[in-house]
Amino acid sequence: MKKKNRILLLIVIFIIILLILMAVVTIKNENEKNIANNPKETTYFEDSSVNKLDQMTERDRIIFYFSKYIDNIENGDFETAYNMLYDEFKNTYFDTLEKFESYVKEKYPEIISVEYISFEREGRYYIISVKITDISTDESFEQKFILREYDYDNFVLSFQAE
Amino acid sequence: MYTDFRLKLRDFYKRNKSKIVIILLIWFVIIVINFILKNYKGPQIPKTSYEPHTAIMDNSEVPKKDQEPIEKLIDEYISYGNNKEYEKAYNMLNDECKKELYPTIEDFKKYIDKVFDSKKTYTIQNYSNVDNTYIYEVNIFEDILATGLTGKEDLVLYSEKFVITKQNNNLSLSIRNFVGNTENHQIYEDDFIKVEITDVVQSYENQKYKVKLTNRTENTIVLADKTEKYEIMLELDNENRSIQNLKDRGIYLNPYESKEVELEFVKFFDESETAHSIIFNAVRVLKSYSGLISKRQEEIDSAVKRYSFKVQL
Repeated sequence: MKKKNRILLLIVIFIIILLILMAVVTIKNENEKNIANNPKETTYFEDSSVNKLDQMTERDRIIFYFSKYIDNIENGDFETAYNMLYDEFKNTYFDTLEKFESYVKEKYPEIISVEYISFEREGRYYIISVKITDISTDESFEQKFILREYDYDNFVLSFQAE
Repeated sequence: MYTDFRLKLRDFYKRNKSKIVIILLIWFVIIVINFILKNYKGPQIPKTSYEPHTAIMDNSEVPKKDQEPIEKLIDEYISYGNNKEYEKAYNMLNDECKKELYPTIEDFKKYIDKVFDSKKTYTIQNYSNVDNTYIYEVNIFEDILATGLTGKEDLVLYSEKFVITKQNNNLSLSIRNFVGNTENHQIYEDDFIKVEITDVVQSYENQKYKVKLTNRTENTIVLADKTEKYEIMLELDNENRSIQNLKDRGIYLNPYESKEVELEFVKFFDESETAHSIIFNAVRVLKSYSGLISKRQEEIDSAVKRYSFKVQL
């Protein structure tokens, strides 16, 4: 009889665990649904949590990464922007943060307007061609950026360093 | 009657109580597990349009278990190329490919030096699959992440097809579109000429027939000199295809001459059409042959014979 009770207890514990798991999965899915249905939450320039990136198209994600880089430059956060660059590219063209900072200050206007000209994919590499305009003077130039995404919000980039 | 049924039911329940409880429990557990598995989303991988192992031609997919070994094989080869480890890269090629494209490692070195003139990266895309043969388009280009395309207008690609064949659980690699070599010994002979097909070389987009020709006469025999349409053709189920890449003055045999030539036709490896014969459609046995357009008509008018024949494959 004791043995029977023990088995019954184990079965009950097992069922409780399963019910908890079921609840966790349901709550998790509901949360994701809510994020996807809330337009404020999907404004991808505000937050880059994996949940939101997961809702974006491939193109939007890549443009989001690129925008992050440009935002850092506009905000003067050169170190963060520098850290987004591909190591080998950094070593070749900007081996110090100072060199990168001086290039950026010379090349880019204070307020950057970006127009996307083309978006291409070659395997896992994305090539974005953009037109960068200085709003105050209307002067502009074109530049290509190369991006590679390893995981959500895990990417590297490089650009035509000219 | 109703009371009787109730009694029977109660009696059945009492006798099988534990069994019924266990069955209900199992049923419940199955439902819960099914629910969890259905709703559980595993680790998230960024969704992209890049599907390297799905064939462009027909959307067929390379078997899952072969995908990683194939990626590894290609990566290893490219890595040897980048590091100029000629011998290691050469040894990765299957024997037929080596024999056909690069009989010596010196030939292969030239190819590697040309393709890998600087550090290169690559992308792969499955192109077509036929049985256990997987064809991948491999684009090789400068490491654009490392250069940022600095000093370049656009991405310049070198593209070729790698053919990967699975035999006895081993993957064999051939490059530059080469698929394989098949022995196909066929002979045609008449009083004027002997045509002997020895081999067929299949690359992804064409077939090359290795042919030995013997002139049995004291006259010149012209098989193709680009002066007539459809001089040599490959006969398929529903169409005939003209010879490609005919060199210089074409194919002709001096009196009693014997020579080996290659006849190349468009014939895709993955197409359903079957080749049945090679048609020599404008054979000219000439008393004299200058190769000059101005004398062509005169030479044709005095020809010993003009005819056509087929070599069955």
